[in-house]
Amino acid sequence: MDTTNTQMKTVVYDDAVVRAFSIVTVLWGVVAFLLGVIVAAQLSFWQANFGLEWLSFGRLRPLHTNAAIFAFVGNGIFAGIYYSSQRLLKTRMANDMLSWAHFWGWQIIIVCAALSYPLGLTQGKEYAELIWPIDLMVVVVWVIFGANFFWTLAKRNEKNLYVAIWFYISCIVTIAVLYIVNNLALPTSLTHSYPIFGGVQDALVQWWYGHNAVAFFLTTPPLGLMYYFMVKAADRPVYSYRLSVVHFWSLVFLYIWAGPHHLLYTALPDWAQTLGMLFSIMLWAPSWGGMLNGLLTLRGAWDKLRTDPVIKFFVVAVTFYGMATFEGPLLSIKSVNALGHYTDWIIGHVHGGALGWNAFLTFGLLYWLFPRLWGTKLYSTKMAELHFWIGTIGILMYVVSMWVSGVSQGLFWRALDAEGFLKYPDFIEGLSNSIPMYHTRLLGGVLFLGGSLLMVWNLVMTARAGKPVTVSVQVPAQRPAGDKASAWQLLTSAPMLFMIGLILLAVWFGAAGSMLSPVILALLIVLGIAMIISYGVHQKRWGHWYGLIERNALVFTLLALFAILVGGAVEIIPTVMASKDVPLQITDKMIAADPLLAEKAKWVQKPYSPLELAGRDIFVSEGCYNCHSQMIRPFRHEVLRYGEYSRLEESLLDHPFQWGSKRTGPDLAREGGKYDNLWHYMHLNNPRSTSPASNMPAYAHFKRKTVNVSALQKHLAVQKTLGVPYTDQDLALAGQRYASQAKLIADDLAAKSVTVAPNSQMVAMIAYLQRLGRGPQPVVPVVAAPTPAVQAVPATPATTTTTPAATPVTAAPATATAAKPAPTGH
Amino acid sequence: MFQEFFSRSSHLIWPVLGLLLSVAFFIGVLAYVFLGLRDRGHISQLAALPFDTEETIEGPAVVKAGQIGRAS
Repeated sequence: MDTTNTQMKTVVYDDAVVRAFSIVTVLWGVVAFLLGVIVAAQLSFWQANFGLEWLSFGRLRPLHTNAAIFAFVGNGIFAGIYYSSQRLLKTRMANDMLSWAHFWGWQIIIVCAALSYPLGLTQGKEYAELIWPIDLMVVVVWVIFGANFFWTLAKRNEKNLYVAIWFYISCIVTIAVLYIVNNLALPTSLTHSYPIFGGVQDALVQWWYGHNAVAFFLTTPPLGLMYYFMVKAADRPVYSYRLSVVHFWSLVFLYIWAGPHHLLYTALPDWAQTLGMLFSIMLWAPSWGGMLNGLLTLRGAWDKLRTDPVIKFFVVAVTFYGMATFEGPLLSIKSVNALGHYTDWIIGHVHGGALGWNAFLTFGLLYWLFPRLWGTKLYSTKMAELHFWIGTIGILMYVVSMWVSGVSQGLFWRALDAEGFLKYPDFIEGLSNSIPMYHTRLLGGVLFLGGSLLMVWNLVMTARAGKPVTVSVQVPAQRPAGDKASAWQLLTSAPMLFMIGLILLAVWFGAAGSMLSPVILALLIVLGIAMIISYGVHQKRWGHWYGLIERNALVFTLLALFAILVGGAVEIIPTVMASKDVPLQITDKMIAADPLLAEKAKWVQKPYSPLELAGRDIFVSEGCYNCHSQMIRPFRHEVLRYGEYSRLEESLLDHPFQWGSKRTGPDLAREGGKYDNLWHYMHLNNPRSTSPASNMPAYAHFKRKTVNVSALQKHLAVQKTLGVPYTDQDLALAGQRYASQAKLIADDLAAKSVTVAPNSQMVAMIAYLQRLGRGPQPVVPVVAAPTPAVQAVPATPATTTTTPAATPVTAAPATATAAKPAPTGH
Repeated sequence: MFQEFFSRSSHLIWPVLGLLLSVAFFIGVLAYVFLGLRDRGHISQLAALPFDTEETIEGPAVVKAGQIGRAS
């Protein structure tokens, strides 16, 4: 390790772990791209799952997204962080064992994910699908990574923290908070759990996490890498260090608020939606500030763009960052979102960022790192150039085809005829029109994969041509003296006290009545002016104070943590608290006290029966939410197509929520009763039998696979613990009620010459689908009435055996405001 | 409407506070950058941190030291 002489010591960097992370980045990258091509092929050609349940779209899509985010980009980030942090801090990573524990732990997690998703083991929340034992592994490995990183910060031989380090810090602390909060769950078994949040709460927490996983995993660490590796590749300092300060703090503070833009026009409270939209638009400024800072770093070095493939990849990556961060705020504007949400436009937007920004930055990083880690030069510049052009064309084909497809879908869904009715009432027509674009997307994906295979060959040959090298640096034997101000002194310094005072006054201003508010506002202004006079006019005092903060990793981390916690808390806490105000049961007495409750009472959700809950578990397990939403937006065209718009009260008991984010198939929020049991059986068994143009996978395995009925009581008990109003009797009679309701459906199918076991997954799925948008369905068998034909029966209860059990929630008419029927093909 | 449970909620004050906080925070950052960070020498020193190292590379001499990392 370090050999000390009288004045200088040698620090040997640990590049072995960087090499390991770099190699697996290449490996997992190819896997992620290949999975992307496979799922893209399945949307073009439904046969592409070869009839295997573990290759179906709903199971493979999470594997693709997780492989791209956590395996490919994740390992690339770690390689870059380990390489640059050691050099920026002029020290070896604090503990080699922790570095390798991080490396191997992360790879084991990836392998566990690769095994669990195809088996249908999932939590059913996008980008957070890992089951709870693997979540625990993620937390442990992340803590190891964080401990090693902050320990390294503590023993650094460089007094100042470069801007790249700030971005790494924000990633480590924020991902820890996001991941833990979003994955809070109660297990029912070793492989299954229910999230503690339900309905609107779960939706908000999920997209607070989902959006900020993009922000703090796919954006801030790569930005840190940009500030180091692009600067190194261009061989000149960052264009504006001051701009990087504004970039960092405004990005960290604003990003955390933007999550609700994924839930515009849903049942999320309107104020949260507006807040998400506002902050998303505000994000435009820091994002473009960062992009310009990166691009202008090449001032005077643009000639390198012609000859250096690394610079090529970096420039296109940063350009795509600019495009994606322009498109994101644009899509967050409610009127634009009304068109683009649930369509392929979002897929195009995401891949512009993932392929253009993340993947190209990672490619540039790998082309830069490999020769340096193996002490040689790049095997073939021409091959890297070819990779660049093939990849760029592939991305453009992908993104443009999804733009065209998405905008077409949005226009198609909302088109009304002269009489004000749906011009294209059959959903499947829109899907059919998108298929040529899906083929184009597939071709783009194949090109992108092909380019990455060229990179694999190039990097393997580069490594083979060289040998692993050891890099060392001379640093002063004495570590730089720390600042005299301690962390406590900084946290209680005058500027900090001024800020705390301003925040407290702001809170008081908000909470105070109209009489007191002007007084508090005046106090706010006075205190603000006092702060400026006290510190603002003395520029060196401000600069000195912030310089101390910037060099104190602990205080800096606490401030960054505070910045992200404020946004999260202000959005989540009010929603959670306000959701608790929504009564889960409305009695006549309550209605007498508040007549407004009478209208709400019919929307308040009732708990699922054991059979329906089993069906819902299967729905989640199969990843049906990847293609079907359960959230009807308050637009005329949606109400005409799907039925009454969704109320907040209708999904409060859903753990996890299943509002979805994409409609490759139609919305299912009011699917119950639109078709009879036989239609659902035929559709699940072979979607082409009811919808010839459908690209949905067949779920024939539902017929032979059975439900573990004995586990249901535990499932109900856990749901009860989470606040779902099941009674002790519900739990005790779970098996009996399951059997009764299952027999009803099995008998109904048998009457139509279809034999299916009552304990099959097929029966449970049909029960769940028939429940959607309706109240509790019959559970006690009575004499079945004959059902005349196998056809769609819009807005008619499918289970024709008896009237629904007593419930205030009547089926919302699917065509409540329409005179014309609105078929919704699948 | 579908938001009525929240329209009467006292929790609505929090987003307003959030907006106030974000504006105050942004003003603070700008104040620091324009008032506090005016020492060009110090800024240049910070911006040059990625270059502030002379590394020694040990390993088999596959290529000349100056060629390491260069494209072919």
